[in-house]
Amino acid sequence: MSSPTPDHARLITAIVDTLVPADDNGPGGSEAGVDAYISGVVRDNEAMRGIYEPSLDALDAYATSSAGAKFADLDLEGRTKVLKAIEAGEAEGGFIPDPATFFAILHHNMLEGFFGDPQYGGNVDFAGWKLVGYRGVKLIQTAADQAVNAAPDRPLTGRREALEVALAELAKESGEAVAAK
Amino acid sequence: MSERKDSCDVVVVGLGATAGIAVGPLTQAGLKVVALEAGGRHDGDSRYVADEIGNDVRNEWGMSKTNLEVPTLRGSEDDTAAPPFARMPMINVVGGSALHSTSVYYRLFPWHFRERTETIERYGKDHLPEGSSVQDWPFGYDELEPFYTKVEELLGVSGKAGNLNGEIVPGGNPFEGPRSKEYPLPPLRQTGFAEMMGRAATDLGLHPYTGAAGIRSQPYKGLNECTYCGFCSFGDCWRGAKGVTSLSGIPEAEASGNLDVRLQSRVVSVETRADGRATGVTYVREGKEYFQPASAVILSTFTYENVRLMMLSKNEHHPGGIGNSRDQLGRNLHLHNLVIVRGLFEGQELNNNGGTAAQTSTIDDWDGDNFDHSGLGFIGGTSMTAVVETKPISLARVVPGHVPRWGSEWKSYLKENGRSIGELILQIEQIPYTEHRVDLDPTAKDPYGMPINRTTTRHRESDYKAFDFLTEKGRDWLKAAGASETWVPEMYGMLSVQPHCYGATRMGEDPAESVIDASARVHDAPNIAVLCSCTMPTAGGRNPTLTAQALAWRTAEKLVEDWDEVAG
Repeated sequence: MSSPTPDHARLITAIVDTLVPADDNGPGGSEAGVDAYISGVVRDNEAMRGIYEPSLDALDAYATSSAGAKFADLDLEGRTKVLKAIEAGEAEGGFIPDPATFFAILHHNMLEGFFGDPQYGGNVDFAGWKLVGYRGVKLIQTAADQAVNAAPDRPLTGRREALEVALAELAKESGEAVAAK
Repeated sequence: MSERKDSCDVVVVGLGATAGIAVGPLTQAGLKVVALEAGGRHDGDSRYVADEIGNDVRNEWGMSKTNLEVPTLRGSEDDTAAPPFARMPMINVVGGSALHSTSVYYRLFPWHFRERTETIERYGKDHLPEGSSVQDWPFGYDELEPFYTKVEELLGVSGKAGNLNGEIVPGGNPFEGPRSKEYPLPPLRQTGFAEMMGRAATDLGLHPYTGAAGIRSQPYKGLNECTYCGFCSFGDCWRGAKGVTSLSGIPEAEASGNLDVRLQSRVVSVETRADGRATGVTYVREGKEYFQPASAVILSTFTYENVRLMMLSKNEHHPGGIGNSRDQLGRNLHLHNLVIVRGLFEGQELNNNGGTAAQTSTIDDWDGDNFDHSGLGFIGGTSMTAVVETKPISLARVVPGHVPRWGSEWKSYLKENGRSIGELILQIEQIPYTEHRVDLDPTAKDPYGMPINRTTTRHRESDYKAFDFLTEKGRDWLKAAGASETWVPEMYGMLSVQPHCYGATRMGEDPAESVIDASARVHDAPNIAVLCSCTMPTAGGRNPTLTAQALAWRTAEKLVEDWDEVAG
């Protein structure tokens, strides 16, 4: 059976839209691809699969027992309450290795999916980088780029594009140096 | 049965930051050296350039070895060790973990070499934290100074002298020990944030300077300079601008014809004979076992693997492991209490995402014995550096404790303040205790079925006092620069698995309190030398690599000087 299962994938989507709700400050977790990133982690990493699969089941079981419905069927307030109980280690059930540690792993992975390079499937349309004001990867940084209260005006770029841009800049410089001679 | 290879003069275990230095003097003296490296070569590829997930999160370069043998951790001998939740990765590659280091390149102060004696002389014996086993080095700063200079010149270290032959020089660090030469390259460019912090430090009567970096500020010996990309720490340098031995040191040694580098070669034990001396090492490459005979052995992996290999090599000549005839191996471990102090500069665009964490404004007013410790209850301190290079995933972790860590309120805080958070790095010196140690975990094993390390260490009362005092000084500095709020994130308590890891094969004159002698050779196996920060009796509040490399150069020269005796 593929991992994550369709049920688990839906649950991951509901979780990331709770951790990162869509609001006035930008898109929610699923629009930013955070669920796709976490599903990728579960799919590709055996150790993480061993943590996520039982813990996701435990999370749904805890939502059902404490709030009367599966996690994805709760409203934002209900979901938030469930996740807070897990974060605080107060939830019961078969979390691996325990509720609080599972939440910490989930939280780490959420940050990776929201703020990691888009190459890894998350941070779609640079949603995370726009939120925190990260200016994108730029391999050749000038003094002006690093000045306080300067606001560099440039398009956001991920790592692969940034490498191409930087190599082109170096090639141009060395071409000019040759031409000058 | 292992296949026997042709004999060599010196076999080196791990061709990283320290061995990459040592192979220079050895091969220049005409010794035939075989280097066994568990990883491969970097070869200037760009796979992990500017890659926070590939490097910081997944440590792709450590997949072949270090990720598979992360030591377990416990607080005392009564506890059961467990995998650490937080760890800072090491990697396996020619040139070593220095390839993904921040490359801040500080020397120790003369005080650190005489830490016990100086403390007793100034404050009395009662000022030494109770139960600590801190000792002086078997030699002083002056002995190591020429080797610091040699390493700085080989790699192209960038910085500004503060003390040239005893004369205090403006612009440098006035607290440093006397240097015989100016740095080969000028300091890295300061960022706007570093300049701002430098001005605030001066206003406070402190002594800011631009930190020294093992990163080239200008082209040097045909190698490239830094372009300030912002992905130094745990990252690959896209321009090859770091001063690493895979670019300086190892190539020259290979060109001499006296260095034979064998990659993907994992050493599993050091073999010895009846008089305790090493006869060579056994290693595994592509599933096949080999014996490499040698007249001398250099153990130059990192602290954890050096100790592990010495313990795994126990035999009838060394029943407790090599260097452990007096139960000293693995003991006197000490780390840095790595702490980040943050400040919110409301409404300011700090532009701290680019650049390298080595583009600092640094103060040493709170390191070593540069301030009066009377009544403070601890010794030593920390360098304090205002840094940039806040990568995006780590940027999202920085919120103060009163802000939720997820949800709409968290998003709102990041949106408002994400560009306005500045930080200081503190690496608070811990001092050694006999009970703080590395040994073999009784149950945890690597995928090959060999025991992995277990570390035993905890915070002592003096560590809490140092933390309270020094983080307060950090907050004062940030506030003086305009921070409206300061906080210290949860990282306190990070007694973990980290690349600032000292002791465990301590250097000393007395075999009852050390593992290796003043020439860095094992007391009970004198043709085995040990390199790495694990040899250092004290850490200082400063990054380890430069000192470990200066020691490597000195150790190699001593081996050559004493070769007849060593090889006999």
